[in-house]
Amino acid sequence: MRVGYIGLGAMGGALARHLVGKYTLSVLDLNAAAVAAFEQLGAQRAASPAQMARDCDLVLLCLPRSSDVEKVVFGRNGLAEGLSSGKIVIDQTSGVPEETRKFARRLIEAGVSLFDAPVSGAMATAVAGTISIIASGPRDAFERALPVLRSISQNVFHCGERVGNGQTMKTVNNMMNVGCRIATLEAVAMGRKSGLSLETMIEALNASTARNYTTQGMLPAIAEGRQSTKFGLALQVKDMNQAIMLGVDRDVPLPMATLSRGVLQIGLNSLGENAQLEQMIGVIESMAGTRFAGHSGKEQR
Amino acid sequence: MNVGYVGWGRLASAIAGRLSSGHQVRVFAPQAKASGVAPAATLRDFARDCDVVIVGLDSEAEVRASLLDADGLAHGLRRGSIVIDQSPGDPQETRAFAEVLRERGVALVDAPVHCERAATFPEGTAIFCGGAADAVATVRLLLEAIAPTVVQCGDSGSGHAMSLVVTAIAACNRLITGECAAVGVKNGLAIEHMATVLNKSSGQNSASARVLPVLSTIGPTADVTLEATVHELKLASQLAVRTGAPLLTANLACCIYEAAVATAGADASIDQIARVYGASAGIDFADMRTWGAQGA
Repeated sequence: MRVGYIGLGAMGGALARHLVGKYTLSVLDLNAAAVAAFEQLGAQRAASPAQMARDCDLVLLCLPRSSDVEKVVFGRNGLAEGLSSGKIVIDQTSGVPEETRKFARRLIEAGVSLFDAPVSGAMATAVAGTISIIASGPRDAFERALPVLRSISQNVFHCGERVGNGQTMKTVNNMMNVGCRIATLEAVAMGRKSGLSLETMIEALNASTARNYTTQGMLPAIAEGRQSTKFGLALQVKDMNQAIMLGVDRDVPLPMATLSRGVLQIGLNSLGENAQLEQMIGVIESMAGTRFAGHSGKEQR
Repeated sequence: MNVGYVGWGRLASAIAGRLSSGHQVRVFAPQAKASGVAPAATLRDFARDCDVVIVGLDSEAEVRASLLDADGLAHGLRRGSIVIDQSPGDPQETRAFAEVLRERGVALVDAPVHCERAATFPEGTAIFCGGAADAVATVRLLLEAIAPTVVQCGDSGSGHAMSLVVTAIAACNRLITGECAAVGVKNGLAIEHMATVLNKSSGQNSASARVLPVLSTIGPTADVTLEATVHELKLASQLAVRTGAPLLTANLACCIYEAAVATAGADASIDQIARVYGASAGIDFADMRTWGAQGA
């Protein structure tokens, strides 16, 4: 099977790396250096998305936004010009489910299956091949693509035959992660100001029903002086905006998500568009006037 | 070691029951008078024979009365004895109690029990204690008989402070899980897919692990009441104000739990949060087949 990958950024690059040597791989990215790195590994540079679509049986995309997917698929020299019946497009973008369903409907007339398979997890799990791939879409196309997805990660989920469910799930997961992260950092800041040590809180939180991804990952990393996330804050705000829209579209009030989105937006506005999610630690610290690590939370600014 | 227990209510009864399987425990409770167990007339008399008194009441006001009233424990306790306060509490108030007792030669250990389900004491149950290291060491085995996880948090009041941090985050875990389930269902996701995927992804938390698999039956995962949770969240709010921490998220959670008390009732378990969230989104989680179809 000939496979193409478009979007070799931090995440897409880590995912595509697993396909090198297993499939005849062609790649594309706006960043020439990222493409050159894959050529060094033996992948081919595609002349255009249209050419890649002609040469490959299956094309994966991992782009910043659904609007980028639309350009790459339906723009000039886009995938759609080269796709033919029986071919598969897998969108790994953290995109908007309704948009992805529209793309799928536009391609289905030509006999092309487009479905979503976004990923959820830390960069390290993408590199290790254990990141969660959350797919959805027609069962037959999914089954045909499964060996390729499995070579990217062993953890592949299928959330129903409706295209976009994977992206909805990913967005709901982000919302859960962000809500719990902000809630945890804020409460731990209060704990520090009450004289509790970060190490003791980590022990207590993980032994109780306060346990969550942040108490298990980010808090120990702070205590040990390690970085625990590598993700742009602007992208995290975008993800939360998409989560809020899921609520708006279906009349679901989202008080907790709306608040945590607001806190992230404050961080982004204060730090600038190049800020990293990791810097939210400092934002929560300064909001509370304390430090998570160190001897006493009370004595700090 | 003569151990006395002062307390009633679901959690207190469960704690007294767990203790008495391994220790001689005398329980002071108004009901004892009726059941014919030789009761002490007052807490002061009850305290005279105890080396350790455990207090498990619903509020700081009750703790204050049981300790400091004219007939209260403080007036009967011998020098060298220890009071363990397992009631929810405000750390500042706890430090004040500790000071009063210290003047009488009595040590106070605050050791609230974080337990969402008194019927089973499931995983996630833990005791957080504050107080002088030697007093904590003396009562540690006793505490471990109640819950295997005992975390020493620092001096007096720090057990209560930790308990409030834990309750605040646990309450948020549960609300966020309910909110995510509601928006997921209304956007066409199946609950069983959410239970599988979210619990293996970065959204996972203690509530998602317990609540999502049983969402269509609304639990049970807990028997702690909405009212008790609101009480502790208000203590957390109070601590935030005093220490100068914004605590935006947990304060919002407090408001939502309070609203849930109004609709589900004070005695409803915190499992009802899922139902309240569902209702706010126009969903009955118990009738998910309908929604799966509409969502798709």
